[in-house]
Amino acid sequence: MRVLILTAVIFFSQVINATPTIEPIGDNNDYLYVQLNTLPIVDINLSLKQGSISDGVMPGLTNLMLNSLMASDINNKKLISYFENVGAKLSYSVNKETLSISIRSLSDTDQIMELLNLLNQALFIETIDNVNFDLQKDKIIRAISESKKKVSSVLESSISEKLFNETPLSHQPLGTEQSIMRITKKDIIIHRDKIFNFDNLEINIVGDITLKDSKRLIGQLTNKFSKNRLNPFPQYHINAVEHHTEFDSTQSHLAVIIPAISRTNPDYHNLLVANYIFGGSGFGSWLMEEIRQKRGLSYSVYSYLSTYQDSGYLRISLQTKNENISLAKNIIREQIDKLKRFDVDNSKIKSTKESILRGFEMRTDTNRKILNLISSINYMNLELSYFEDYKNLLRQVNKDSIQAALARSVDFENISVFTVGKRIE
Amino acid sequence: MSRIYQITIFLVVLFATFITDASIKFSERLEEYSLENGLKVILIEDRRSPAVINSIWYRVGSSNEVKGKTGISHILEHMMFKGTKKLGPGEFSSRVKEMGGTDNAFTSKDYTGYYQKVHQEDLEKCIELESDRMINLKLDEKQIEKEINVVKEERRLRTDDNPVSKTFEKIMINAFGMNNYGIPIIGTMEDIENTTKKDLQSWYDSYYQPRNAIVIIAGNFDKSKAKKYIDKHYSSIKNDKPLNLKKPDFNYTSRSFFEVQEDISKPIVFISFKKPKYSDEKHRELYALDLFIEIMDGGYSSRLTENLVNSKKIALDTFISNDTYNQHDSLIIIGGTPRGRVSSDEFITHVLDEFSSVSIDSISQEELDSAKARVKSNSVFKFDSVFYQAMQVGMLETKNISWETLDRYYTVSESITLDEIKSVGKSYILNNKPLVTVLRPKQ
Repeated sequence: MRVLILTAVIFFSQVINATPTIEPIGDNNDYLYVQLNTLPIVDINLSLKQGSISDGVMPGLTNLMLNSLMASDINNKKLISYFENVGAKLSYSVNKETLSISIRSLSDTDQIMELLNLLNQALFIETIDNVNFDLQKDKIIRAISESKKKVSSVLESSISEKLFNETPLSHQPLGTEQSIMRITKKDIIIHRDKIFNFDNLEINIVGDITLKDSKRLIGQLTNKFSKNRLNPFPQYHINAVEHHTEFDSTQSHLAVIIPAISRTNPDYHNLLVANYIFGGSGFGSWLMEEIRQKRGLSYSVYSYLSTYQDSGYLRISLQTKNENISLAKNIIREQIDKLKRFDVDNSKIKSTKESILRGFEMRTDTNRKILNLISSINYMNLELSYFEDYKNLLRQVNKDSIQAALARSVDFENISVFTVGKRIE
Repeated sequence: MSRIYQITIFLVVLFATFITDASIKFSERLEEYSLENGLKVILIEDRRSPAVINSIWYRVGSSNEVKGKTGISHILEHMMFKGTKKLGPGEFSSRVKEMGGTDNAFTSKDYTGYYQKVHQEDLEKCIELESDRMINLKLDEKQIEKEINVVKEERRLRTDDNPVSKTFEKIMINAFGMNNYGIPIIGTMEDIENTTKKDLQSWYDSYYQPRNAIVIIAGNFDKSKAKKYIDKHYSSIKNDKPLNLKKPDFNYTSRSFFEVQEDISKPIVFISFKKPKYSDEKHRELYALDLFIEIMDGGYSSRLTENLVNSKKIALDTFISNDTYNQHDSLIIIGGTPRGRVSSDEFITHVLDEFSSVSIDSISQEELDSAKARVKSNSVFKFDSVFYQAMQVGMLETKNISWETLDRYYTVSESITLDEIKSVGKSYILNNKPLVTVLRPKQ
């Protein structure tokens, strides 16, 4: 009986721990781990700091490579079928700066070891099957064609093309039809051997698994990675652009982009508070009040800080019927001017900080969210004391520091405006 | 060996048993009861973080609506944030935001739900706010006018500029008319525009009553305190009006084939099969149907992908949609995108071949075991999100299906045999009349 009571006490105290403890695996800060024994689940994320930015002269190369490798046959069976037959989940994606593979499984270490062994074989397969390769190309070309028919995708493409003109960020991860058709299986293998290296690699593990077993899993997953080193990507300047794409839709989509800062910039927490008040917190934010609540112009309007490795921007987005786009743009301009002045009283800043801090405690309520959070911490090279640092830095924010940060770190002189929709005269 | 170490081993042993059973159950963490006014209360404990979800679910959705008044449940959902006798427009969400919380709402065919995710210390404030808008909603003409514009924008965003959503809407209307599940949740543009304050007031008075609602609280909270708060804020609310649950069905004719042309790059084919409403007596058969669908298209290694995409190379992708617990007649929709120069007709023939008697009879025990493995792991994965726990329970309880069904699902599914799988495949698909829709690129 005594043992049971003690057990309950230990279990309960673990359960109510609000902020997870992040540990490096094997003293390597590129491999992060959070032990959570409350559910019999293990989540693993492998990320390479090489997204479509590493495509070079072949837009879409990284995405086609990953899709082709993941569709590989191992012992005459698709890789995915090994996962699905035991109820495990395998997902993967390529965005501009990263390639990501995620696995979710019940906590059976031997089973996970076997799945990672198969994944490793697929990633480092010697030859890519023709049938598989053609299918992946057809699927991607169809997705590219379809993206040209979607107003939101057209907007994203125009932003990339115009904002990052003639840089590796200017194309979408899917690439172009012409480029996809030109890529060969040999290109895939060469690209794979180049980017699957320890220099780019980050692994994050969350869940019901020991640190020792996590280390074993990493050994299994990475035993074929090379020790190549790649040159760092150059920094990019964001150009100011005003661009409209004509499109046959009932709504126009608008994106306003203001050059800002990377996640590691010391002004980040000041801008976080400013953006929360401006448009980052839904109802009650300036944008939501002016656009939706007062005028009913849009279902959704918001702003967020988007951060790349060395730069970032503040982005505002909305959609409204074509007839209302000019009015919406004017209101956004007025609100940007208000943000620039940031004449907000201290009590509002204080309550906003309290709201963010209170909400911060609730951001880690699922294993999946904790995995996503530590993946971001890893990617941004933030300290393992992230949770405490975040709170401390946020507490130091005040009106003066926000105004100074806005003046210093947000380039209000170089605002870009993108619209897609039907122009109504 | 130290005492602590012994305890750790004991914990590991306990936990290992827990894992191999894959038996996390709602019954181990859930309590239900009702207040005298008929309000049902469900409390789900999950102490992994300090957060708690406070939600309320009303048994009303688009399937309660009638032609000419479609979308009214959804507009009322929007208006529930526009003030009460005590709060101004938008103040509900502002209060939640001050707590560091988030709030939102959703309308479905069978229910309308509202929730806040807050720190456990703020639970009572949310219960008070939610109970206030159950009785004190203030419907203001100017606010209604603005919000109708917002909803029209939402329809443009989600449906009018989205060819696939627009086609799904047409498929449901073709199958059931402007009746029950044929009614689009967001409503037609015309009905949205014509919605009046009187309509909304009547809808609110008819359906937003304690006996038509379920409070679900999930997460980290003190159960006895939660019960006190619920009693304090809800027990005095009366059921003022009779529930308006009956509405006449009307006749409609479903076309067995129709085409839609939209600005898309490749055709998409939809083959629909009507499916009767869920009944508890048929639960085993319907779980077998879920497993059959899982075998056919539950994953990337399932039959349709393996045969049509990988082997025959006639499809770029495939899909099946099905709702296990439909409260009215619904559709199982099977479809996909033909590859290369494969015509829609050829594609349809190949898909239907996958559901032929020969094909269904060839389903193997290995395929069934694989599908069961996914059901098993999903029965654990679904507990990761506290919000989703509340969602699963709410989605069933609003349809008058007990939450206990969720605990039964895995156990019953485990015992389903290959013969049962083949039998449901034949009765629900093979021997059922298909309704075909082709979404083609605009010429």
